[in-house]
Amino acid sequence: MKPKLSSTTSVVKISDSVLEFFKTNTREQVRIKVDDDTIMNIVLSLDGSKELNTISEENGIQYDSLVSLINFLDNKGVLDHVDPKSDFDSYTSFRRVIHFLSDFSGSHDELLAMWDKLENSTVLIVGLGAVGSWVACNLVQSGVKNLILMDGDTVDITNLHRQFGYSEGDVGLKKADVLEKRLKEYVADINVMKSYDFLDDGTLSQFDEYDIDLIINCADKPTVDMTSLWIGEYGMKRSIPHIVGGGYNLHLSLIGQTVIPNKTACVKCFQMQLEEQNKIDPKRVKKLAVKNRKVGSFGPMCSMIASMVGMEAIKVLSGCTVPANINRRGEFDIYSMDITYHEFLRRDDCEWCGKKGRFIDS
Amino acid sequence: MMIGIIYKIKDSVDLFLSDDTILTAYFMNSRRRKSFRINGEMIHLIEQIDGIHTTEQIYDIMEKQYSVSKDSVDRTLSMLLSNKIITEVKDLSEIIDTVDYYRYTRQINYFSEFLGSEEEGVLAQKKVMSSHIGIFGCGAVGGNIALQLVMAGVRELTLYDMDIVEESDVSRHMYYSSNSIGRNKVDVLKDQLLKVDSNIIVHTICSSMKPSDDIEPIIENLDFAVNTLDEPYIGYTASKISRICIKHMIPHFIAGGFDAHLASTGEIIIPYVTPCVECYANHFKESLKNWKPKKHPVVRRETEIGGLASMTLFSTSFAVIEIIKYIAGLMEAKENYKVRGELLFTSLKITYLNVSKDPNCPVCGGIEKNEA
Repeated sequence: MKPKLSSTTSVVKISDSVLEFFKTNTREQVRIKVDDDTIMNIVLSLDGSKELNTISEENGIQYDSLVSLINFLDNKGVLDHVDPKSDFDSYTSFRRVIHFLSDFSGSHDELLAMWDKLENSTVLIVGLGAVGSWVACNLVQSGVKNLILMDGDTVDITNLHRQFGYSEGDVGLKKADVLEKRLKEYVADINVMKSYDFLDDGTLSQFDEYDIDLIINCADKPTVDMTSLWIGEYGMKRSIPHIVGGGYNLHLSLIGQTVIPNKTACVKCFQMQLEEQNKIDPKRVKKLAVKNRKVGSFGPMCSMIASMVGMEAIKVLSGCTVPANINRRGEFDIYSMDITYHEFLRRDDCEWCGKKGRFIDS
Repeated sequence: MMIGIIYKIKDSVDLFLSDDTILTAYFMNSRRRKSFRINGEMIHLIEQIDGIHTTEQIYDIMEKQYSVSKDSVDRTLSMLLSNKIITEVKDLSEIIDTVDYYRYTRQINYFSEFLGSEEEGVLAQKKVMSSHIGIFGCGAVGGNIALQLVMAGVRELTLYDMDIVEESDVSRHMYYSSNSIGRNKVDVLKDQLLKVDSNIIVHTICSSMKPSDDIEPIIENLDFAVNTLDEPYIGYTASKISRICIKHMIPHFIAGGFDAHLASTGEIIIPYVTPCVECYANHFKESLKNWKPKKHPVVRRETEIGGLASMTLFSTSFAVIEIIKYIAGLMEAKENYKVRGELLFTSLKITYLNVSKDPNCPVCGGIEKNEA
């Protein structure tokens, strides 16, 4: 073994007794207590060219102590786990993604496994509009090889200000076809399956035969509540993780939740809690009708929500770390440019995943 | 005062009535709400604001059916106008081409929520469409920003970069395509931009930025400049660009998303309003004075840096929101500008720096020029 300090780790001597490893990809720090500069000098010699016994001799440190130091640093993701690079077939294209994931890995084998999972996963994206179009591209750009794209819509000129991958020349064509072509311009040999259906109760059963690792809901027709429930129910039934996107009409700045079936609050748990919180007495509150309305939308807001959905997807697919948006959803405020999160709980009385739920593990 | 005018409730506003006494306006685009005490006559009045009745007709109805005076109708209308709940129905074809109006109608609607009327929303869109923006550095970050700006309606761009597209750019450059490998980035990006909008003007400069390069003539012509150039390094290019921009009172954005700051928000710099590049440099000189990374043992480690398309997309979306907010004038920049922040991948939370304008800054300190 020739240990090598990860190229993205900075070593900082904070004081005579504290040494910091700053992981620049994730901006996380690992600090250790030290007696003197011995450990720092060892770490700063880890250029990947020396065997352990050479390092042990050069630094006058016992072999066993060195091994335990190296193991410790390894587990913290401070050391490089990418070499030998030739183990990654697509290293040249995706070196950045691989080096990013390396921060979360405890060993070379673990990193290989993470990358393998990510590359070979299958993601179903429902709705290829202001969120789904960006997410699809980001996933292919991160190495995901299998996508199922579902959308019955055609490209309209009014889509172009907020939906990625569509050009003036594509107006009138099926979004799924245009996006497939664009995705294959990134990576030619990906597998794209298409469905021109609009989401409806039952339409997802056409995918029953496919192994799907993640479903992302980016559909807002007929309503976000309904599409979330349909996707949530299907995900629970087949135990497939799902992300309730956000960024839709009337929910422009919503960052939806990530659901891991039977581990986190499900769409139904969210619905039940929301209904309790927003209980409106129809006798007391009435909505004044506004006629002939159209709703606003803002491209970069949608793509920002999509970016966070994309990051959550990478976490679910690679298993590099726990998704952040489990048991919560967020709201982005354009004035303060900050996110407020609201917590949700998995419920014992949930009709899907509670004690007597329809979808609990037996 | 409001004779012959037609008003409607804004498309993006939902109105709720509680106990027949509290009116709550819910602004859907920004998800904010405002509540007002209201009486029965006002409810009847709101029902008449339907985009069809003129104010004269409304005065008449309110007077005859509910004995409400013209003055109190005017008072309510003013209140609804100043709170951006209603807007005047107008023929907008004189201020915007109908094809453009149709293309950007959703965005105009979004803008209108922050401004008063739909007409102001259209004027905001026109400001976006008439801006000339310079993009220094057309890598993953600059390329995305350019694309997102053109999508929003920006019609003149100057692209500045010397690089060529490489295979590994697939993982972060959204304008990448495998058949563009080996071509100049500015040319590939220009092609992609023209696909989104064939009516735009794109100037390209395929060059590096050396200390001897005079970029003042380029910057002078811009309405807004964006810096993402990390060669020779971001600190140098930002300082060079920012000094010239401040001299010519040109707002600019120093983008995030570069190595070691993969999901940084970057920062908008409005001359004499926000901290400038020099103020930031000073801040870091102080806050990082004891934080000195040691020399890294791995040679050529620059090819072993991480990155993720979705993190780049965060940084660029953030930048474009800030840029459009400013250009379209959606909110008062002085009160609402943000300093640099960082989104953390694991927690998806944003932390902002505690940095402010340096009164002794050699570049932007001293006189408050914006007051003049």
